[in-house]
Amino acid sequence: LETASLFQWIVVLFLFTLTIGIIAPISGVGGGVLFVPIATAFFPFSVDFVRGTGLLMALISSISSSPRLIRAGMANVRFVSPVATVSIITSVLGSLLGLYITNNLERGESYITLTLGILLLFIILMMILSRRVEFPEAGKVDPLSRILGLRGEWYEPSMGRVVSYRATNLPWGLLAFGGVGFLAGMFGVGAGWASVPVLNLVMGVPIKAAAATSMAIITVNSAAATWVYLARGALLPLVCVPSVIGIAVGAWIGARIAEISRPRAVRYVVMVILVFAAAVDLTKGLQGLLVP
Amino acid sequence: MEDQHPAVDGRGEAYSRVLGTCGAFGIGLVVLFGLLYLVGVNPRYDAATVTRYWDRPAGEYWIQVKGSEAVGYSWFASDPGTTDSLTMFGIGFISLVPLFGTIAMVFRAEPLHRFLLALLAAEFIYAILRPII
Repeated sequence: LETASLFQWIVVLFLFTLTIGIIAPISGVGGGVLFVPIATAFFPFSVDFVRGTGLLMALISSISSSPRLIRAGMANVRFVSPVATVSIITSVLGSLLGLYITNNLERGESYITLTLGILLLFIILMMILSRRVEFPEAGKVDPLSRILGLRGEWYEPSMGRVVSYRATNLPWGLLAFGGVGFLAGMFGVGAGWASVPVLNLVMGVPIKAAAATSMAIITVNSAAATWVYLARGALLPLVCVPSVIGIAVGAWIGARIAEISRPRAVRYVVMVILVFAAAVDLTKGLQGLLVP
Repeated sequence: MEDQHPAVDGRGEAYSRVLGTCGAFGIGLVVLFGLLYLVGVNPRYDAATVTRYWDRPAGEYWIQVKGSEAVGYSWFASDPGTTDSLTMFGIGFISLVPLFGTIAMVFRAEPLHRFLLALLAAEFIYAILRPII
């Protein structure tokens, strides 16, 4: 790959991200979670440029999908003000620390690659073990959620009726979103893998609304973190442009395929690829740290 | 069944309108200037230079390419006529879109949410200006 010509590079990146864009909606695994660890494992450019591009991809896909989800009533922007007020700080801090490690510590790239491998294994475990509760019972609503009126409703066509819900446990949710924002900024991954379970299992938001609302929150976090990467020159048009076009076209195709069929086998194949990418990231990271 | 759809509140409408309109414009900018750059129209840094050093961390990459680290936005804003710089302007614009959306929501939210949204916008603006102040 390292000797490939420029044209080949553009084509390889485009096809890689096109494939990710297609399989992401079918498998239910976010594009950023696929792009960052696989590109870190198999592509020659620095993990700084991979993370910057990963954030940009997360930003563009959330900007593209949020308007439709908000108008359908599924993405609830009431959650943006309390949650993003906390997570924007941690996502910027995570980005700053991530770039500090690669640019100021000796073998910093190896630390990031190694921890990315560990994070990826954790994400895979979460995907396997995490429950998805269609309509969780909110139970007793905490005072903060009540004061902020964290509730919502949308028309659910599959049930032919309006579904109403109210959220709870906002203090725990804010704590969790603080951690999610930090990891998203540090590793450049979209954070749907973590923010959806937090909204669904911790705050009691129905799974469809949780998935949609997490997109509205990700827009703010990933945009602020992208500015940090932009200010350090960690975005290259040569990497960003084919990737952004590839994932946008792929997501368009993938969304249409997912409407017809979402075979479980695709999710299993993606899991296997992610385990392989995690193994390569761990090996690369350890080699970088242990080999003199 | 259409009349069963609950109405989206004003801030949701404002946020989705800003994201939809400004987002499409920003993506258009990135694709347009990005494609011009990829086909070699007036680049500031040619692709051969980029690929020679892109395996280095961002700080070291910019030392090799332009002689100093990139801190702030002058690494692309100082030469706005080239297609790679224009692509970065497009990326900057896309990254501003959620801020525009947040500001649009401030004026349509109830007092407590208005305060939090104003705080969120202030945090966002600080994140952008932090490298240059």
